[in-house]
Amino acid sequence: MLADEPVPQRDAIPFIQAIDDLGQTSAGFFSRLYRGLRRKQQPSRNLPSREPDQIAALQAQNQSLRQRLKESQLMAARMEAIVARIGEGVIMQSPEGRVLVVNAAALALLGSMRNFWESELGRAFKRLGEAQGGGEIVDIGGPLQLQINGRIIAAQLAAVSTPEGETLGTLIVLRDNTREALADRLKDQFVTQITHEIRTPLTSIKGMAEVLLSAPPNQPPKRKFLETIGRNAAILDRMITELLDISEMSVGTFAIRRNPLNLGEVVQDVVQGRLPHLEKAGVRHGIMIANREKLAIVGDGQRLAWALGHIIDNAANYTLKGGQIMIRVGMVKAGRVLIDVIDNGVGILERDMAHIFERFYRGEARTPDGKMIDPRGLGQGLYIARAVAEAHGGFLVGSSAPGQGSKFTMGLPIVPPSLPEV
Amino acid sequence: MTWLIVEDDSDIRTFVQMLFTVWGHTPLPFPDGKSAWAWLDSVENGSYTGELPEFALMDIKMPGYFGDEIAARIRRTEPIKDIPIVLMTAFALNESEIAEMKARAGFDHLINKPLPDIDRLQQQLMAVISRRRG
Repeated sequence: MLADEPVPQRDAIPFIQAIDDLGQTSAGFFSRLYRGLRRKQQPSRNLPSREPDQIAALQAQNQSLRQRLKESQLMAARMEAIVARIGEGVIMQSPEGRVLVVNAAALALLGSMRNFWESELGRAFKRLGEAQGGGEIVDIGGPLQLQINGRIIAAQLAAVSTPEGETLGTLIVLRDNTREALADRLKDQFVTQITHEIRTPLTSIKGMAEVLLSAPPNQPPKRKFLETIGRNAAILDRMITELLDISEMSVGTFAIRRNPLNLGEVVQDVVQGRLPHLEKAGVRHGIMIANREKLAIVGDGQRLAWALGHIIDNAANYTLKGGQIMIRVGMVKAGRVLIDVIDNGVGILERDMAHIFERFYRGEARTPDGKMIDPRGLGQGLYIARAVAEAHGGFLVGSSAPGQGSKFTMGLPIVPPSLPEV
Repeated sequence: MTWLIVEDDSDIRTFVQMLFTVWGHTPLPFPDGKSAWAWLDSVENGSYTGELPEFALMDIKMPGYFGDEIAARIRRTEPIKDIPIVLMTAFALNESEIAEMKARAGFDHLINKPLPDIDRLQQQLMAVISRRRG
């Protein structure tokens, strides 16, 4: 209430004036102080006495820097996307040995980083962590070929540095080389094997011919020697025909003859021709023929005989003495007459099973006591047998339980597809 | 004289047996590495009572045991450890492979298939035999 407030005295007025002056003076001081502080915080905004064109130039420079930053970020994002998606595995570590990049392909190839560090490659990579490169990317190892995670992996190690020579780390690029390595191995094995397969029958032909020639000219040649020559010439003939078939299969021009034949007779002939082989192997065999009326088909008798011969030879070669082979002909399924060749031999390893129908692939079967079973041959048998079955419009499949035996089933159409006769 | 022949190709085995016979020797044939190995068991344990061979001609690649494995075992089998041994093969082996195999298996000579002409083959085998005796 105003009435209760003390009324200011007249001599108090100059005092109030003095306080007001002090207030205004301090306000000016503080505002100058704040302005100064703001200038320190934002030096570019309150640079003393900039000319307008200088400011414009600075703004342009600023703009350009922002643009370049954005471009660098985009480039980095692109590189990251490329590294993430390329088929090659990429691993990079810093000079201190810290892993900076592992792309999805690297992980897929290696299975896990643990597989990598435990491999010879991982150990080499660790050692090379501090390797110095003279240029931007310098190869320091490889290309190495290693077996990791069940694959054959080609690796290239490189030291990476800036153009100025500052070390950025070590890089490793991984590629799945399993297919190529396998193809190389097959090629080498094939050349070795075919040399052996040609020279062996030639040995008998050359030797027996010399024996016959050394006999007196008026003496008739011994039939047994002539039979030996004929038999071995037939082996060579078959091998060469099959190699030609294989080359036609690979370019898609393989064709078969189409003549009426009886599948039961074909199977019996094939087994008949192998009796000495089966006897020598100490393997018993049985033939079961059913549905005789369905066994008259149209096809290439010789090719089918060779194809079945390969399957039965395999059964005999991979079955131990005292084992047995059962051949069933005539079951019908889905319009196809089936031929089953079932043995109780050593079976097929899982890793071989995936490749047995490939050209010139030879598995590494072993007897229970660890001896490698390595019969003669080029490794073309099942490849050819399947191609022959398919050329008839049929199929060939195999299954196996290692240590217990294998079963191969060829299915041939009862009514063959109407393809032109060759 | 008894000459050992181990060869899994029956035609080649028959041919070589015939040559041995013509040259005046008694062939002791085995159709594969396994049966030759079993025969060596019987030589070792004394149950083999036949005539011991004075020379061996063997194929390399055979089921059961390879010719070089049998050669190495012959070198460890007392009554026949010093006989001349010739291996034959249809594989193409290079010099270093042959040297390595020779050092391991201890055979005297390697001949390639197809075998040389009969006269030349005889000369080669006789040369190996006389080298071993000398």
